[in-house]
Amino acid sequence: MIKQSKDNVFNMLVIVAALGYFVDIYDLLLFLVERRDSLKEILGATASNDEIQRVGKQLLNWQMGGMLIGGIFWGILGDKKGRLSVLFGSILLYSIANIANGFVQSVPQYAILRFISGFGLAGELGAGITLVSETMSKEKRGIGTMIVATIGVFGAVVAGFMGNVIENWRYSFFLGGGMGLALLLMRIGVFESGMFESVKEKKVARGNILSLFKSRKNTFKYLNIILVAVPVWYVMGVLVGFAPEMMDKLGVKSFVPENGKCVMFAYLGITIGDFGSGLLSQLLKSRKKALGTFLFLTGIGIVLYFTVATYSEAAFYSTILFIGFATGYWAVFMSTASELFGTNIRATVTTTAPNFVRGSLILLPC
Amino acid sequence: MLIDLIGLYTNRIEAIIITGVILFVIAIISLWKLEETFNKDLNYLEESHIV
Repeated sequence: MIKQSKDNVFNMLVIVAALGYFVDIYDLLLFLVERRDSLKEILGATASNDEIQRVGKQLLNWQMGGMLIGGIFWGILGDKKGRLSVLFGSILLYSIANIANGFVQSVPQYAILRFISGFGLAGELGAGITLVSETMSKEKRGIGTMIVATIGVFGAVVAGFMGNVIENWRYSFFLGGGMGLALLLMRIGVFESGMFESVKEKKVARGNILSLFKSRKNTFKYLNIILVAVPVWYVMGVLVGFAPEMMDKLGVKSFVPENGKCVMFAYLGITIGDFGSGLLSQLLKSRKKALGTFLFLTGIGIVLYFTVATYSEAAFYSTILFIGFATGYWAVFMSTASELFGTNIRATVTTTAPNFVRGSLILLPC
Repeated sequence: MLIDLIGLYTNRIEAIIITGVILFVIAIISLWKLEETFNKDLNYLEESHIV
């Protein structure tokens, strides 16, 4: 068995958290990949493109709503009952929801299952990163979160690939759910964080999200970490997600970007970026310097998107790859979120912050 | 929402660019104010939570 030690960066916990995030991202992207095929079957062959797009957006909002509420629920539960129960509880919930998603026959059923799936998906990453941060040494924990994020984000590339390989969209959902359930078998050999266990014995309030807003200092600390990562979702949700419409509005006539290809190039860049930003943070011995470097690169990427990317198809996809790399500071963002607050509120902050960043997309519809 | 709001005063593409600039500037200021956490000892409790 692989031991769970403070200095072993490939310990059982890192592997489980990384694979959990892999399945998490796979399931998140799976809906985007299979949305069209599944809705064509459920709405009937006569459904127009506009109707498919409208229902697809509604389902995405259900999923996002589930993630926002789930983020708060799992975060508080992580501080009250433990990080491990959230890690495996969330994996179990979204896996069952995804398997059930493979059986849907109507839009209301689809909406309920997207909500439950989003609710479940919201807990895994925060619980995993909190556990990794609390169980590894302060010198090595950044490498642990870097491994979790890098392996996890690769799930997006696999989702895109499997979407093309598996003909029947229902089987793709079964596969996603099945992978999650298989992961639960790895529960043996993973232990609760010692820091949490010691806090449990003390007379202290745990997971009180409202107390984050009782002092100015804590409120700004919490808001600052969320706002640092919002450009990631501006880039992914607006510039990459709506790339065909954006290039059209910019007057580009020589090529039309493909959504699937954009997502693939962007996530390939993010995978490399997550590894790069995590490594840079370790080399510089600073989270802020690594975040600053990648935020600066994101700024350059945005400028390139509105200028150079419009020249040709090759320039466009190169820019998408670069912009993906630049926004790959998610690993360092998650590390920092987990390191900002004390043990009695850490899971709440680490789980809610990424979900509020994802949820900020609701404020930026294109 | 934000893009729509800015779009009331300018065209769609300019509204998207302005939104990006605003979010980027806010992110830089937030980063500047953020605490450095590398090497921070995590074994502590938030004081306001002690009952």
